[in-house]
Amino acid sequence: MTDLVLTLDNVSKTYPGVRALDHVTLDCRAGEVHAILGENGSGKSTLMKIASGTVRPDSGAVRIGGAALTAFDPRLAHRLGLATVYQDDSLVLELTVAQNLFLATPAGSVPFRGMRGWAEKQLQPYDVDIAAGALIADLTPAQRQFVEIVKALLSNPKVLLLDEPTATLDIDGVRKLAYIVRELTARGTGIVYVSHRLPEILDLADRVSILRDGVHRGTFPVTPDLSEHDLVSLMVGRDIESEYVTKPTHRFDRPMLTVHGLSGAAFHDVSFTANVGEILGFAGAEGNGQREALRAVVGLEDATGAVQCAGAPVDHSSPRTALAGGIVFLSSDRKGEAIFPELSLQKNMVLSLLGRFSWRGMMSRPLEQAYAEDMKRDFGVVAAGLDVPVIGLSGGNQQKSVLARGFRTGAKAILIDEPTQGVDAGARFDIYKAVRDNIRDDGTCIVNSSDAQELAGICDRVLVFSRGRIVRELTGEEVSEQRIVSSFLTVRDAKTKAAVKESHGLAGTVGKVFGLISNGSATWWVPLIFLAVLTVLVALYAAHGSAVFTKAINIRHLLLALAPVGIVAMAQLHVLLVRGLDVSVGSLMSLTVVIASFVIGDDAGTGMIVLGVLLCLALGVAVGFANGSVIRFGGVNAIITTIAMLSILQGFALVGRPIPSGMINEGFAALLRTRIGYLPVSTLVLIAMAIVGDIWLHRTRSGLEVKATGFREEAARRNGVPVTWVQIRAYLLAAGMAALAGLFLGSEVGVGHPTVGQNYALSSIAAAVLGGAALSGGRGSFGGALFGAFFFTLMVNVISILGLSSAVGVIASGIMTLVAIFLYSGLTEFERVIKGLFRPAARAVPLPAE
Amino acid sequence: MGTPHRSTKPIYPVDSALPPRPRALPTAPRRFVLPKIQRRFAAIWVALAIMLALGSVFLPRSTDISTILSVLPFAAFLAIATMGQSIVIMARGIDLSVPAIVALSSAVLLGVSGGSDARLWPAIGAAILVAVAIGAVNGALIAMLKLNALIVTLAVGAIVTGIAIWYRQSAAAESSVPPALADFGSARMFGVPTSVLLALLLTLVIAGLLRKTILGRRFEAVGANPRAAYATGVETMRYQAGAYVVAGALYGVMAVLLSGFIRDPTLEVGTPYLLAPIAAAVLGGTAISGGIGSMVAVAGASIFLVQLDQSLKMLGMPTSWQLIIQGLAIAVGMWLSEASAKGGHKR
Repeated sequence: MTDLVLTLDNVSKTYPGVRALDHVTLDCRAGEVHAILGENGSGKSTLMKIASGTVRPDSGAVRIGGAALTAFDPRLAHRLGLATVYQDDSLVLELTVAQNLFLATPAGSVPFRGMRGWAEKQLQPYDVDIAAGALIADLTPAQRQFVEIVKALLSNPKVLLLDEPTATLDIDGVRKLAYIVRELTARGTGIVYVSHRLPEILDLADRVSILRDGVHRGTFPVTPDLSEHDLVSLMVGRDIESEYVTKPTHRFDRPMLTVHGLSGAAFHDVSFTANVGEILGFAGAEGNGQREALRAVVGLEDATGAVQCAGAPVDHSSPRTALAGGIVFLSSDRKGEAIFPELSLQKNMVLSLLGRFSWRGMMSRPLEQAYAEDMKRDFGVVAAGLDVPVIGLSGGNQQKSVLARGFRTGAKAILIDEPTQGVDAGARFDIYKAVRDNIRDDGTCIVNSSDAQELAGICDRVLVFSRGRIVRELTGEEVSEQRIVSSFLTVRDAKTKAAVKESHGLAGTVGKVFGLISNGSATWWVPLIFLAVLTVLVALYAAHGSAVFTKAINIRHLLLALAPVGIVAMAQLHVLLVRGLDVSVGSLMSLTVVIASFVIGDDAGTGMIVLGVLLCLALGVAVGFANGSVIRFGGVNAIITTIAMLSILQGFALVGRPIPSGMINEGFAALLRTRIGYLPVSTLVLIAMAIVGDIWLHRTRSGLEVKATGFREEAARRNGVPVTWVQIRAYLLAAGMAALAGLFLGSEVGVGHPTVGQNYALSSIAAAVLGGAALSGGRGSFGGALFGAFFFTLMVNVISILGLSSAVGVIASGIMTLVAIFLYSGLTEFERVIKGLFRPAARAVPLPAE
Repeated sequence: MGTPHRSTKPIYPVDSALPPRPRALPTAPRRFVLPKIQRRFAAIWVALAIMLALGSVFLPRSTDISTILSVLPFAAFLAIATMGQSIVIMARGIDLSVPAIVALSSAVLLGVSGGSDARLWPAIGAAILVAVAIGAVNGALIAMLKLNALIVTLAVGAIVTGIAIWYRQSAAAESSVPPALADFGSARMFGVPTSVLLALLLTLVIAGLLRKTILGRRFEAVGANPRAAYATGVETMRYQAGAYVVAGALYGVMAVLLSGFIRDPTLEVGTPYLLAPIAAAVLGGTAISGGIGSMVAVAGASIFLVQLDQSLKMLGMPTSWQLIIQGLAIAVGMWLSEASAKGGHKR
């Protein structure tokens, strides 16, 4: 009797409209490979998610290595000895291989400094040729897959879940993987291997279980006399023939859509013709440019080339122009790019045909409803009514509604990316039939699918992609699952990608120059140099224009004014790093000043001062905790939460001091303004804070976890980073530091001024962004934020020294903020806009003469 | 299923031609369908009714007709600003430049008119135009350059505030609105303040545009899912930028009415309109995730907030409590709307 390393006992899970798993019982022994075989949508992925603790089953229990999984928490599953290799990568693309591997280790087990060498040692035994210092983003999908596997093995798991591990691998990779799997089983690791590739399974597995429509159809030991055919019929459940619509037998010879020489970043020189009545398939291993090529036909990817539909050239610069030319595209990302989740079924279906029931822009409600009812019936959409939000429907019905909208636009060529992803078996047939029926007389359809069986079942012709080019065309009898899969696995295209075209013209040059200095830049010191140059220029100008500027008293003044801005900029950075934003810092500073005017009053003793300072800081921490909790646990948007907080704090500040009044203890103020010679001590404190902050951020595990959370929260969570705590801590630190900034501000103004902090939210964001922080999270440095704040203070100082109106100061701070975020994120869009303007108007290029 | 409707015409331009249909046009359903009022939009009316009922029992002064009439113009101003903010929120944005726009708009009104009736109309035109122009800048930066809405409107707000300060410094010291506008501001029609009637009219017009026109439907789609709208062939950018322009126009109208009402507006005139419109928009059921909003409901929320504020004032609480209440309203409103959205999904 061997040990059971994983047991799933009677697990069930239901999603809206789909019974994903129905009382499934499975186990995996130590040292065996247990394969789970099933089609797309059979419940394999749900099963894996339950086993790894990411999804809670409706009923049933999971045991890992003999211990019950008491809470459905991936970290607990991991501790019990289960590791998962995910199909969609769970790596942080912006970090290096070594950093990703490091994040997956338990805290303290690997020294931060030795990370690189340690990672190389981990990669070595697998002979995979991946540099530990490489960014994940620069790796191929297959290399990423191996990093995933190496990462999963770091913890020496008792059981390893492999979810379609060969999807992105070529033959060589598959061989390497098989080698690793055998090594592991020899060591006694149990492996659950999910795949729908039968030959692979028969080669590796000891036992195989079949899953169909969420039901366990049996477990069989893999023996030489196990019939492949039996397995397939169990998996498919009925004849493959009846799952698909019968293909027409006649030849297709009337071209409808012709694409010539389409080239873009991920595909090169793609040319093909789709004929009337024909369903053309795009096949290829994931990431070979087939999806991008399809999207480029309607302008969802940048591309050059010519497209012609129904004999007329089509402008393929945007989906709108492509639709006007008769081409419609239905995305595989249904929730993100095809449906309007919160809107009703009716509004979803009729969006492309509003003109048909309107008169001078006014819609007729009864007619609209009649149209919608018509579509619902014709495409067999099952829903409680036309006014239910479409997100409440099952995947199949959502897809039918999208299909109805696409076909009723009157488009001649319909391009469908993954037509039946997340669609239950019953609805699939309806969808295939609807496609066939709607293109019969004067339409054509192109399908991109990762499911070779589906392509074989519905397509009349299949184009196989490899490395962005069409490498094979399969017609007639050749269109079979086996031929499709084998052709994209065996193709060896040694050609490397053509060099990516450099962007030309003004925008390109400007982009390149600013790309270097832009904020949120990957190189942390670049924004600092940019700021240094600006600072020198401004300082020179000011010194030239006014004699006062270089006086010691002015410099001291400037440095004292820097303290509150510098601290609040670093506070804001904490939140920006985790992809948040806190606009309440300014009003928190005001409230701190007001409270200080009460508790650290003129007659306060030392004890009272200490108590008052602690009270202010505690208030900050409490505010931060409230912000963080509402955002994380209440699920409320960060911007709205901090706006609400801004309002509340500002309200309390005004309740406390309706008008500026109440002196702040002078001794306390003087303490915060202590100086050594000309240099205020606060400046030294600021520099020390920035250095400590940067060491924490860039040289410790905790800092790395913050960056990972900011870059890609989901990946960080899967690596065991406590993302909720990291996020809440960021708001806590931000508010705590803002309260500190408020104390410095109080020492400067000296009275309880209720709105003194109102401009600090803006300057904190601007300073942090100028210093290299990215609004998209993960990037930035404390030194940069401090330097940004210094530049900000300098500008304000110079404006007042030169005797300009206070209005100029306000305007300058606004402009600096705009410039900062423009440099960070606006440039690429700016380039797009410029390109769009200068692009030749007629993008509808006719085909070159044959 | 899947009866194909095909025509012999080569290609349809989007949304224009009606394809010949093999069957007769579907007949309109005979039953009269009452537009279903969603729960999220109805909630604020219930809250308003409860507050008025409580007020009439415990604080009868607060529901006096004279109190209501004195409070209503403020509700009208807030409602107009809130509609602007709601439209921006429906397009997945946020606008923190409202006080600055209102301040500059009213400064321009004073500056151009010079307090004389002769230049009243050019002054009103200029005031609204300035607001529209600032909205256009916001829209261009946010929709075209895809910059963060919060930061852009905060920064543009700072710039506009600076310009307003500078403009008021350089313009004549004259700081009263033309008498005709002041008369209009305090006038009543059928016993109702004119600004209230105007706000009502604007509410109905905008609600109608959003519900009944192609423009409104596409705008809703862009807010609900911009990527899907783009893939479906809608000019997303135009609708997103347009939201800020329309909002700007509303702020401009509001600034003119408000200036007429107070007669001698200062630069602080817009300050209350930073947070109150956001609070009213959220209370009126506008979804921060975009697309969903009702102009009628946010008008109701504006009345609610102003009446609540008035009642608190009558109870002797300082006006600053208003900000605290608004903050709590935003937080609680958002939390409820998130919770109801999640509950809806589970069903």
